[in-house]
Amino acid sequence: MYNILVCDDDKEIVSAIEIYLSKEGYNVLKAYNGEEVLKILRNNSIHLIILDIMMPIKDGIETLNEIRKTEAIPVIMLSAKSEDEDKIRGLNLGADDYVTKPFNPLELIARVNSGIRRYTKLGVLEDKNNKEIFKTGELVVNDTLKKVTVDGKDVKLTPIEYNILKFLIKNKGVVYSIEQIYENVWEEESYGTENIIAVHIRHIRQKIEINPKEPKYLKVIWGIGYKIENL
Amino acid sequence: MKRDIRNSVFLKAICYILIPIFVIIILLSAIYTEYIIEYPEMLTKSKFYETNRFASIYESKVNTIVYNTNNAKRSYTKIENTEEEIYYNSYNITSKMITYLIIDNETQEIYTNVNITEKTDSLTEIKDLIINEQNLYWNYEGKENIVNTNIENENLKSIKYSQLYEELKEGKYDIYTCLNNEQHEVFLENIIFNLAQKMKWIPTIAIPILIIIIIVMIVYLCISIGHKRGNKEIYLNKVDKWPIEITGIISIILIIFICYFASEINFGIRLSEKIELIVIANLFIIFYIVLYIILAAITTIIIKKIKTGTLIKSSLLYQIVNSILKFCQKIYDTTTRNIELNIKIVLYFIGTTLISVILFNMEGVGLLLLIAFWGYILYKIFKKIDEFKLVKNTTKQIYNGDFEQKIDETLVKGELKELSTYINDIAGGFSNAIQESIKSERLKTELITNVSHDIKTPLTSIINYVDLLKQENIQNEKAKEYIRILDNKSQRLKKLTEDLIEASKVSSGNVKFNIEKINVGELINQSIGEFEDKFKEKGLEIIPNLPNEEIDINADSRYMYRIIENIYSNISKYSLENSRVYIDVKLKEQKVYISFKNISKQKLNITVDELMERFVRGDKSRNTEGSGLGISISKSLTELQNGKFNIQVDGDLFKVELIFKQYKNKEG
Repeated sequence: MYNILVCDDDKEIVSAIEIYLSKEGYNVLKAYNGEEVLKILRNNSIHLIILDIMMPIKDGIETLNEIRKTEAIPVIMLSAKSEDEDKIRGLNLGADDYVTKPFNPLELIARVNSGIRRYTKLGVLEDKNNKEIFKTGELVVNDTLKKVTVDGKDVKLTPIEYNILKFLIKNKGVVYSIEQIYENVWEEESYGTENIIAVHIRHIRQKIEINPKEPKYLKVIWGIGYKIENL
Repeated sequence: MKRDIRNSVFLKAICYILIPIFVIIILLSAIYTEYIIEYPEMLTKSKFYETNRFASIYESKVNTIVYNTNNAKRSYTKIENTEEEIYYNSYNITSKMITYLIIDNETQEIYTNVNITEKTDSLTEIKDLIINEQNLYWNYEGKENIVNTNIENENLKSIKYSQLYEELKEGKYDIYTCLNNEQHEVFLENIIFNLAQKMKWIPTIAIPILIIIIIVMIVYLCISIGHKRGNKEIYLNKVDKWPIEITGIISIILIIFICYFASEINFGIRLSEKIELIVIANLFIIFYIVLYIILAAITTIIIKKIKTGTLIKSSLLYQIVNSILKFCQKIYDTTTRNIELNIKIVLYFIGTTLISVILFNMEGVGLLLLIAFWGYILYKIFKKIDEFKLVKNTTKQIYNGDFEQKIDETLVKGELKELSTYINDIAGGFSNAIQESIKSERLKTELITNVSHDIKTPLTSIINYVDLLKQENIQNEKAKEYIRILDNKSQRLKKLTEDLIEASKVSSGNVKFNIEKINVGELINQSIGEFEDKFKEKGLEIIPNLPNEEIDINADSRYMYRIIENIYSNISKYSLENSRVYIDVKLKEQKVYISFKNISKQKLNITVDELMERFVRGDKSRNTEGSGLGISISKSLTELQNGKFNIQVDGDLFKVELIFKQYKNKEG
């Protein structure tokens, strides 16, 4: 049983999150401001914190600063501010993830699961010598087994999707245009089938990403191409 | 509706046609009256040939023939093979009216204009030839003897030839003449005489009646001219609006031309008798009609102008005089408007002139003083110019937007000081107004963002608890339906708040762009891939038409996708199901045109401008998904990236066009 600390000045939101997480089998501890978070942290063993930014007494950013002085546990920031600057600031201060209000409950749960998995399975032996295994973040493509996992969970891809993903993860961090992807995966010259690739990419994203609209691994660079982020 | 007699085109036409006919009848009657006064024998004699007038014409003709024959015998040619000495001349024009035979009693030579053949050899036969066919003849044999005249004319019988030549008087010639009835001079007079005989009654009865009718018709025309069916006002056509001088001059020129032409023709008739009488009559009738039309037209125009009161106002003379008067008024106004300042200037002028004259007349020291005086005046003028320059330059700076500028009022004097105060006040007002408006715009954006953030927190609870409700095992179908609606609307509220924040940021220009090179073809293909499902759901077929070569633009890739995403979402929401969507990329004159064309599901009953406005959607209703901000956001984002965003609506065809400058490599 993992302990998750949820903090938001809005009691109903905290209660809702509690309901969702309880269903997933987590033990939830509740706090309504930064001071309470720090107090609970001192007395309990917490595995993940969901932290609202705009709070009275002590706000999320300040609290995060305090937490990071002693703890390395995953922190998911929760905020009504959806601007890029806010996200970047939060992530730079040591947050592991950033969820904007109003959020999709399923997405929040997925992110909590991901965070917990990463935190608890940290240090698991990796076979770095195996050339048939490609990895970025928690996305693993095992070419020997033709298996794709995200956060340890199996993902089912069609052969074409698998080939596209393999090609991109092999060259992670490099941006490829639709034409280049087609020519490399199909190994023939492309002609007029461009947006089929775009459709496949979207399908892959829907399978491997928690929020396909804000992808973590398979990024879309509009007007240029696609890439697998090197994490 | 009561029929107005003034509007009858038929009646007017009748008047226009009858007036000239009546006038010519009156004219002829007048001529006739004059004729009677000149020739009173008209009343006593029944035939023209009996009149004194005829006798005198005949007499003068015979006179001319004898004179010409006597003086120009060489113009006759001798006829061969006859017993007598006969001379013939057919070219004697003046004698065409008369067929003649003249016998010279001294030489027994015969002169004639009858074409005598060889067969007619005896003199008696020739005489008969002349007389036989005509019954109007007059013969003269020897001294003062008048014989054989067949014409019942006492005057002709008793011609004494007192004015004739000596030769004739002394019985040098025997003359046999016969009237050639068809010659026009006599013929015309004969016709007029006969006509006049028949129409003796006309002058006394017809003239007064006709004059009255004409007056009635003219009065009617004067009243009705300019009235047209369906028009209450006097109707003026283009020609009517010309200044009266122009129409007047044109008609005078025409009249002069006609008169000149008529007199030329009259002169031509006198030269040649060959022109048919009927041709002459027709020509004069045509002249008369043309003249009448011109006169009628000009009169009509003048009457219309008088009726509308524009006769004087539209005349050139009036306009010229009026503009001169206005000009004078202007001069008067400008002098009197600033009377104080003007008096001041005049006083200065007189003063300086007086002082100058006095100093000039003083000589010596006076001249030096004069130079000093003028130096001082010049200094004053230059100083004023300097002050004016200061005011002008500062005002220009304010005009260019620097509202913080102030004219230093201590540096200017008099009228300029007053002006400076006003300008400073205006600049201050502007400065305040602009700062206020910037502040209020910023406050508005902040307010929208803050309120949206505040909405988001309760909205989070709503969405979460609705989701939790969905997971509860509720059996009530109605409750399930209600939850579905709640779910729908809360999701829409979420989208709305997000769009609202974006729209307010974008429209206030509060966006940071990361400009880079973007391949348009790639962007379109990627975006189609993203929307493929949504388009398929509605049965929309996407037909991209991309050029073969690579086309690049300079833009922020994420915002470019945002623009296209909004357009696509618009297309998927408002397109007619199972229709086609065309996406064209074109390169023209280093500009990239990206156009999206689709067929609208609903009638587009609003203008393009309304579409562009925030919160307006195609059907003006608000019950479908979306916030209505998409187009507005896309437009702002496009324009912030120096692009153009155009919408065209052509029937049900909805077209969005993005125009960007083509990417240019800095090296090439």
